[in-house]
Amino acid sequence: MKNILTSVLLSFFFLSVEIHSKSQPVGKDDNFIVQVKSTVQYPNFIQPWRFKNPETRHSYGVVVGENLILTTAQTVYYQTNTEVQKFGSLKNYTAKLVKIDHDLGLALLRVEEKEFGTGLTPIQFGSEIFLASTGTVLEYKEFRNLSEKKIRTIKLDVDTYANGYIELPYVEVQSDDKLEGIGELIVDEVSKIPQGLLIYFKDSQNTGKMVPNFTINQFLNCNITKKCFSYKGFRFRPLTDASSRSFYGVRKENSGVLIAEIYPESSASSLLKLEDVLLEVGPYKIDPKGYFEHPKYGKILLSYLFHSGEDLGLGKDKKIPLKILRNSKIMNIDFEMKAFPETAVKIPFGNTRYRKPEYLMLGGIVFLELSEHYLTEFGNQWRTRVSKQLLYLNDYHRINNTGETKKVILLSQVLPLPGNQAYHSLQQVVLKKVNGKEPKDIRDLFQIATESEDPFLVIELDDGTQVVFEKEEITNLNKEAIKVFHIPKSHNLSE
Amino acid sequence: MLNSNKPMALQWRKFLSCFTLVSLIFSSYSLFAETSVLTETGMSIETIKKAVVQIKVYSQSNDPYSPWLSGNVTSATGTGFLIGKNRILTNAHVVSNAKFIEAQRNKQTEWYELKTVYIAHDCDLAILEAKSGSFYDDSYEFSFGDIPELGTPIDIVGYPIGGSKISISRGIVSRIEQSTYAHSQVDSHLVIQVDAAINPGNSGGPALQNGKVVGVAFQAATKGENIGYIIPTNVISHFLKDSEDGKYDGYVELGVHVQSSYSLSHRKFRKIPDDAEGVFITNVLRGGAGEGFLFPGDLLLSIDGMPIGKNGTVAYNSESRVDFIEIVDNKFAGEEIKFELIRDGKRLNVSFPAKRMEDLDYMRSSYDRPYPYFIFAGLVFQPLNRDLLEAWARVGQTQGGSQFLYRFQNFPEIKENQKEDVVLYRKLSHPINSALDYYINMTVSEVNGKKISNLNEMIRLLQNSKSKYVRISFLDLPLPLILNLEETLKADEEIRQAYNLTEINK
Repeated sequence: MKNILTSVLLSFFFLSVEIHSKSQPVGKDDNFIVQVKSTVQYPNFIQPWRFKNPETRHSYGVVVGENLILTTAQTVYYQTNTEVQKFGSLKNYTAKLVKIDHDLGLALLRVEEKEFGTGLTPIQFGSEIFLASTGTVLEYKEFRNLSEKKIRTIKLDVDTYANGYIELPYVEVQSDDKLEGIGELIVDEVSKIPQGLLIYFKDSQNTGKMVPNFTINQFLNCNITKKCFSYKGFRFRPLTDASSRSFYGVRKENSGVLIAEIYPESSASSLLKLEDVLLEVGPYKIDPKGYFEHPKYGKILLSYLFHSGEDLGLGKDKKIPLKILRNSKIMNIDFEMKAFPETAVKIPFGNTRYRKPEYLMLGGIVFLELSEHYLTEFGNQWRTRVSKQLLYLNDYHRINNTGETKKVILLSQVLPLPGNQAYHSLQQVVLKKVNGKEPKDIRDLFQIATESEDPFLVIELDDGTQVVFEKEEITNLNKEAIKVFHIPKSHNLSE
Repeated sequence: MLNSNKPMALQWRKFLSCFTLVSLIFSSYSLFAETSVLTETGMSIETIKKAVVQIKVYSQSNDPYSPWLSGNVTSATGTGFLIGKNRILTNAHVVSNAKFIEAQRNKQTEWYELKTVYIAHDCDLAILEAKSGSFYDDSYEFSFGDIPELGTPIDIVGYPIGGSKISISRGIVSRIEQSTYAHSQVDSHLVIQVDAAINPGNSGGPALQNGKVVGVAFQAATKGENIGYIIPTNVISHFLKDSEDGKYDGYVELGVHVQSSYSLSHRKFRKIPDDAEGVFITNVLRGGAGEGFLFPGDLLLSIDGMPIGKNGTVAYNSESRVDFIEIVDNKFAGEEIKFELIRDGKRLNVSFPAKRMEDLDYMRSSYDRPYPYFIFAGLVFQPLNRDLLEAWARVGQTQGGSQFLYRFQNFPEIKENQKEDVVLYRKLSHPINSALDYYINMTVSEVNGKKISNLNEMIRLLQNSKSKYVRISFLDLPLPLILNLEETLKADEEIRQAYNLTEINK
């Protein structure tokens, strides 16, 4: 796992991708769709020294440059081996992950073998989508059967993808055909200009989500050492009831939303305050539900202006002028966009973001950082199975609202040994202090535990329970736990 | 080849002779049953019938989810028995929320009205009395025995499943342990497990052994067939003694959480000598008897002179050990609890009076009382309690669930100065609250910038508000709910009429 992650990171640094976009129709005989087959092995978030059974994921890929393939991130998450097959060929080519965007749910692969590109025509995504129109979905299941299915593009809006953190543009699509939503290319039916990739489709409702071409371009063209998308750094609430509008001094009837949450160390943290009323973003008025009128696509949520919005002269790496109402007074501010502040996340939720769950064992007792993935490992009924305190923290305290970077460390389980018998019943309890110090994260806990000069390690839990070990005892118990329970090592933290 | 009919004929003859013998035993038993003495019960069935009472109850419970509406009137039956001074002992759950109680003894033709004299929801017991003296004509009063021994037979007497004839079923005492009483869902006392079915209607009936009552039948196992539970005599006598002064005060609580002292390192760190057993205190709860006297880290060595083991148990009798809390459980408010303990390496003797823990009242299922509520702008506010939480979950509410559940379950630990959590859990729709769904299923923290600790305080702040706007803040929500006071008062009148509310605040 470590090697895989290292190679992914190295790829991020050393590979350079330059993709130019100019909207061009796809030719009838162009060969640009490939099949991607990836073997993935997900980590176990409860017992991070274990891994789940390897499984195979299939998706479609689109050739977007020389030996470069665009596919869904879901296909290659925790990949151990990824292979690509092109139309009309029986050969499987090994592909490497170049970059991945957790918020958009897309990944870029590269095939090293030069001959792979032979006969393939890269496609180019444009900067405009056609709404509402009919499209064609292109896919192939076997190496020589290309199929076309009909689709309707309905509306453009913004939302988070597959539980990503950042709201990004998506196009709602409908189709009477059975689609998979695993990276099928959608082209306009008439012009054959690529519109986007289908990354989600629900058969029972005949609807799905397409990543629009201009957002794909944003992903493809972004510098791979940086984040592809910026985050506005705040969340807002509609301001529709008359009492609140009057209380906050909003006089005009058709604009304004309330700033409801500000992410520390984000674009908004030094500029906005809770209960500010956001009236305008650039030249666009924000209605009381948070929508603005896009000149081409109609009403879209205001997040579009911050996270996308290049077509309107706004978005990433731009200073965005805002008009706000603070204490009933109008203020104009310049809003500088930053990437999503990952440190603001106290309890990781949604997408795993290729995260390697970490653990630390002390005296055969396993400590972890709380994440939603840890909780969801308890199965479909996880909300009823997990500790109510952990559930509450996960629901209401995901973000470090205090500004302090701190994770929730929990005593996840005790590996029962004669030497830790006093603690066998402990599980899912939040850690409070170790030798009187409050560790910020699991690494900090490791540091305190290993560097402490005290003869005892005193672990205080949130429920008042004390776990006490002598330093030598920890080493011996860890060795015993490693032997008895077949655990590779006492922690998986990089030194 | 063997004649297969021959062994069959032999078996049939054997069966016939057995059947005849069994029939004879049965017929002789039924001939003399009315006057015979049951070996285990130690008294005649006729005598038992004179003491056991069938109780019929018409009750009306309040609906915590719609506290302004009156609930259904329902009827149910239970059992009780005479214990002296014309008193009838039964379960609290038999007569909870009762509007009218009546009873009849064997051979009586009239139903006699009863009144509740004492009711103890924390141990599921109640004392009733007939309004008419003629109810007691030709009656018999039971006396109490000790806690039965494991493996001994026991007779459960009652009127199960609504039948009008008395029923006696025999079981064996299979376990004696501390367990949670289902009626309050919070209190834990001693229970006796019996491998005999206890069915609805059996509740409140006596469990007899050697002519004496050794328990009151009160609940059945949710898992496992033919397992019932009885309230043992130590719990019954605690209830009777508590009521002697004319008022039932209820159980006292020590209010501490403990952990075992098995760990050698923990003991060494806390400077505990090798010969000392006992348990470490991890948490002292607000309002419990131990508050101010016991502290986290203390090692409790003994209670009232009885040594506490490393696992927190004391020797209960020669055969078994029970949790040391059982010793506190048997005390009354004001009685002294004596601990020998080690604090900061020193042996100390600490004693303090036992007392009730009021915080637990919010965690119990409640009966016989309306639910206080407040409706403001159609938003329904109520103190969170077990009944509301259960009713709220039954209507399929999930949003906000973890906040309610976590705070409820950790009530004495996390609510430092709060007497109760006031929650906004539903709304009566009206144009004034159409945009306020965001705040539903949240706990109120402040009104107009002032922290509130209970519903009355919230009502007072809202009713005395002089400003144009009212700000209600909620825990874990950064934005307050804003209401225009004048418009709210106008809307309240419309809501009162539209939803047929006689009172908007109760």
